Amino acid sequence: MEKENIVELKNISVAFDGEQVLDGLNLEIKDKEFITLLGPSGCGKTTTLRLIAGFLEPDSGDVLFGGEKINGVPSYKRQVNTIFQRYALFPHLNVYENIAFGLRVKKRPEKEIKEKVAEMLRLVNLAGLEKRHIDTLSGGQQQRVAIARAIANHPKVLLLDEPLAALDLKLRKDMQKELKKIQQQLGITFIFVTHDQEEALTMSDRVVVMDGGKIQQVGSPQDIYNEPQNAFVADFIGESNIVDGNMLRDYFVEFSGQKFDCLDKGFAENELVDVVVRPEDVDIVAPEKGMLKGQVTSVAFLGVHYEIIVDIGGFKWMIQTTDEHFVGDNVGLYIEPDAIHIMKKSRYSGLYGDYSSYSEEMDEMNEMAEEAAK
Amino acid sequence: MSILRKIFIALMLVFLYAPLLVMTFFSFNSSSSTSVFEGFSLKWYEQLLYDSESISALQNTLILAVLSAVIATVLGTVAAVGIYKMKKGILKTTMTTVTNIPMMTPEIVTGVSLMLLFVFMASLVGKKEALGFGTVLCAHITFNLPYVILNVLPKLKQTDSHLSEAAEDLGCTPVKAFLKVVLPAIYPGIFTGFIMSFTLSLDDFVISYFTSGTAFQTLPIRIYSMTKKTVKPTMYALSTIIFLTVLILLILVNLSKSENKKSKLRPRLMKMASVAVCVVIVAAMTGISLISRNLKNTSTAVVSEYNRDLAGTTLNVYNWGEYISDGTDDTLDVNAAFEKLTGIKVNYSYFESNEEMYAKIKAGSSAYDIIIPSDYMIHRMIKENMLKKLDFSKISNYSYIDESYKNLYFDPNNEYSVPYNVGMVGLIYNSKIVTEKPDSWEVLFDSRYAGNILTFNNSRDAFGIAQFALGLDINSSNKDDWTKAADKLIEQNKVLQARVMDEVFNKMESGNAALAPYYAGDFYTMKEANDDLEFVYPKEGTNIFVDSVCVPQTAQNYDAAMIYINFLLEPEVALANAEYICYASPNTSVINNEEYSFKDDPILYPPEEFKIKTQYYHDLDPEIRNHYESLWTKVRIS
Repeated sequence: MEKENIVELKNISVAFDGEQVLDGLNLEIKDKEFITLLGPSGCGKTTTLRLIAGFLEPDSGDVLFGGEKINGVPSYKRQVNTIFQRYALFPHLNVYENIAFGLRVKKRPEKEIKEKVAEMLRLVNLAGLEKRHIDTLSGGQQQRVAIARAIANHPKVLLLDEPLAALDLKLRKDMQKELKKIQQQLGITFIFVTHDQEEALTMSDRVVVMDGGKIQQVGSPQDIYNEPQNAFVADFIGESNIVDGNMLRDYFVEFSGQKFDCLDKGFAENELVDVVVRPEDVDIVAPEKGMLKGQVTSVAFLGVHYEIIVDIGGFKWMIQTTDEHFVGDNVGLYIEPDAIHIMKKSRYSGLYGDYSSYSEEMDEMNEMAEEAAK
Repeated sequence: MSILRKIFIALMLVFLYAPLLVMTFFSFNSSSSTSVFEGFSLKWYEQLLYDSESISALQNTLILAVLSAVIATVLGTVAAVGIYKMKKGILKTTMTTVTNIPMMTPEIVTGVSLMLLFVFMASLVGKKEALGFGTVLCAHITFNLPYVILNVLPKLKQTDSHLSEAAEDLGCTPVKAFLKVVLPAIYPGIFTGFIMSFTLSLDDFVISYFTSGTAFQTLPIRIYSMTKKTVKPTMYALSTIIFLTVLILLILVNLSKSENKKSKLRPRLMKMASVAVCVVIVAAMTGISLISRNLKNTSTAVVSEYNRDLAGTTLNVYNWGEYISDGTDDTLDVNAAFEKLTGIKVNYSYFESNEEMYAKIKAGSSAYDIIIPSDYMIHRMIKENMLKKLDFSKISNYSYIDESYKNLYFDPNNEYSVPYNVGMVGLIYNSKIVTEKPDSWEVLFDSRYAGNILTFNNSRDAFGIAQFALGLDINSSNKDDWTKAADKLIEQNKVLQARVMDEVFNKMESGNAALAPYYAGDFYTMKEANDDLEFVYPKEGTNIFVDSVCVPQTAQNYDAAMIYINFLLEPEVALANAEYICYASPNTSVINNEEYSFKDDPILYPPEEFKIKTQYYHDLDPEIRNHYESLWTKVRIS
C-alpha cells in the first residue's frame, strides 16, 4: 500500500546574500519513513530541514504538510520537532524540566507531564537522572535528553540535524541503532541530516543525496550504492573508480582500451558514458589472466583489507582485496559484468573517481591548502 | 617569597581601604577637625538626620541611579540582542563601535554636549527651563547603555545560538522563547550590567553637573558645592553609611553565589536580592527624609508679615555652597522661613566659583532668579548685559545697607546689586612658630619660615599678595607689573610648602604649616581647633570682596526675586546669616545689634583707626587676563 506524503517540498528555491542555496528542489517525504538528507557541507541539506521546521521561508516554492501549504506558518505552530546539532538544551533547567518544556508550554496537566517525562526517560534510558543539571551530563546523555525533549511532544515529524556528529565513533554506532529503534517503536517520520554516508546507509529507508542545492538522487540505500546516477553520487557514497567509456551497444562497453560485457542497456550506440567499478568488485589476478594489466603503485593495510592503487595506462584504480601485494608488482585486473555500472555523462564527469592524486603527499598538500583557505 | 607576597597583599589592601577607614574614623570624631580626634561621638550622624538637603540629594541620587540603571538595562539588553542578531558586516561593526563611543569619550565632553543638546531642544519647543530630573535621567541612561551592552553581548555569544529556536520548536512564540530561555541564559550579564550602571550613575558628577538644572541636585553635586567652606563632617557620616551598605550588599551577593553554585536557584536568588536591596534602599531613604523633615525643629518664625500674592510660584536661587543659614544647630532655616511666609517654593542650588556660575548663566541652560556673585564678576556681567536692574521700590530694607557698601565701583549707581557678605584676606600664623608678630606680606617670602608657608592655589589671590608686597596695583593694566609679581612668586617657590585652598584648614589646625593667607571669616573656624593661631592684616593693604545679590536677565520670577532680596535684608535673617557664615555683614541692623556675637569684632570689622588699606579686584581686560594666566602657569611649573 502506498503511504501518503506527510511533507512535500515543491520547487523550492532559497538564496542567501545572492548565493543560491537551494535551487528548484522537489521532494516528497512519506509518513512514518526514515529519510536521510545526505551531502557535503554547503549542499543545502540543513537549509531544507530549517524550511520544514519553519525557521526559514523559501524565496519561491511551497512547503506542504499533510497536503496543506504551510508557508508562513511560524515554527511554534508546526507539528514538527527538531533535534539540534549541539542539542540546544536549556542550561538553566534540569533534565526533567528540559523534557517537560514543550508540555508545559502547551499547559498540559501536571500529572500528564509527570507520566510523559517518566516514559520518555525510560525510552532513552535516562531513568533516575531527572534532577541532574544539564552541564553535568556526558555528550551521549545530553543527546538522549534532546531526543526525549523533542519526542515528548508527539510530533508527526522529527527533524534531526546531524545529531550524532559530536559523539565518538563507538557511541555514534550505538545511537544509530537506538534512534532507528525509537523511530520504529513510535512510528514517527524521521528526517535525518548527515554528511556521513555510512550513517545514512545503515539507518535510512530512503536516502536523498544532495549537492549544490539540488537533489542528485533519491532512493533506498541499496539503489544509491549500486545504481548511482552520476559521478558525484558514485563518489560520495563509498569508493568508486570512474572511467570514461564508450557504450558500443546494449550490454557492451569499451573503457581503458578494452571491451567489456555489462548489464546496462538503453544508451545510444557509441554514446560516451561514465563507467563505475567499485574497488571491492575488482579481482587481482596474474597479469596474463587479467582483462586489464598494470603495476601496483601503493599499498595500504586497513585491517579488514588492503587498499591497493594500480596504474593502468596512466589511470589509477583503487582495489580493495584481502590478498597482499607489493609496490612494483605487475598485476592483472578481472572485472565481472555485474560489477560494471554505466552512468550518463553529467556535470560531475571527470571530477571524481581517479585515484591518481591518491598519495600521502597529496593528502598532506590538500590539508595544507584547506588550512590556508580557512 | 611568600612573605614578600603577603606584604604586597597587605600593602595593596592598605592603599585600597585606608582612605575609607580614615573617613569612617573621623565620622565619629566629636569635633569637626580632620587632624585631631577629640573623642567618640555620633553627633555627625545625628546632624545628618536634620540635614534634609543632603538627605534629599541622596534620595535623588538613589532614585536616579535605580531608574537609569533599570531603563539602561532594559534598553541595553534589547540593543545587545539586536546587534547580536544582525548579519556580520559593516552595519554590525558600525553599531558596535557607535555604542562603545560614549564609553570612550571623556565625561566632560559627554556632559557639555548633552547639555547643549537639551538646551537646543528645549529652545525648539519654546521651553525656558530646559534642565531638570528628566535631562539628568536621559544623560545617565546614555552613559550607562554601553556598559549594559558590553556585558550582555558576550553572554549572548556564549549561549547556543539555537537556544531560542529550540524553544520556538517546542511551541513558544519568539517573545516567550526569549523570556523563558534566552533571558535566563544571559541573566548574569544583565545583572552585572545593571550593577555597573547603578554604581556609575551613583557616583557620576561631571555629567550630572552639566545636565541638571536649577531644581535638581544629586549627592555628588551637593558635596562638591560645599567646598566654598569645608565639607561638613556629616558628609563623612553619610559616606560611611553608603560605604557600609555597599559592603554588606557585596558580601550578601558573594555569599549567595558561593552557596548555590550548582543550583538553578542562583539567578533567581540574585534577582530577588537585587530587587529587594533596591526597594530597601529607596524605602529607607524615603523614611529617613520624611523623619528628617519632621525632626527639623528649626525656628522659621520671622516677625514681618509678607504678602502671599505669589504663593505657589517657584524661585530658583543659585548661591555658594554653605553660604546661607540652613537650620542646622538650631539656627534659622532662611529658605524654609521664606517659603512659610510667602508660599513661594525655593529651589536652592550651589556653585563653587564665580567662573562656574558665569559659565552656567552664559550657556543659558538654567533659569535662575537669584544669583550671588562677587564684585568683579558683577562688573563683568553688567558689562555683558547679563543682569536685570533691580526694582528698589520693592526692596525697602535696602536702607539697612551700610553707606560704605553703596556706590561701589562695579555698580556705581546702585542699580543691579544688593551686598550680601563682605570678606577680607588676612594673614593667619601660628604664634608658636612665628614668634614675632608679622606685619607685612613679606613674611610669606621669608626664608626663615621655608617649608612652613602656604599660599592660595588660585591665580588672582596669589598674584594679589605679591602685588601688595611689591606695592603694585592689583588691577594694573600694565603687563610689566604682572611680570614683576610673577617673578616674586617664582622666588617664593623656594620657601613654599604648598599652594592650597580647603586643605589650609587641616594644615593650619594641625600645626603642619605656620603661615597662610586666607579669608578672615575662616580664621575663627581654625582658631577653634588650634588656639595658637593668630590673625593680622598686613600693612601693605589687602583685598576686600563683596558678594552681592543679583538677578540675571534669564530670570523667570522677577517679582518673587525682589521679595526674596528684601527678605534677606530683614534684621533677623541677616543676623542668622552673619552668625552662620562668619563673614562680615554689610547690614547695619546686624553690625549694631548687641546680641550679634561678632559685634565690633576686630577681625571681621576692623576699626577705622587700624587704617587698613583695602582694594577690590576689578574685572580685567581679556588681554591682561590671558597674560597673567600664562604667567601663573609658569609660576606653578618653575
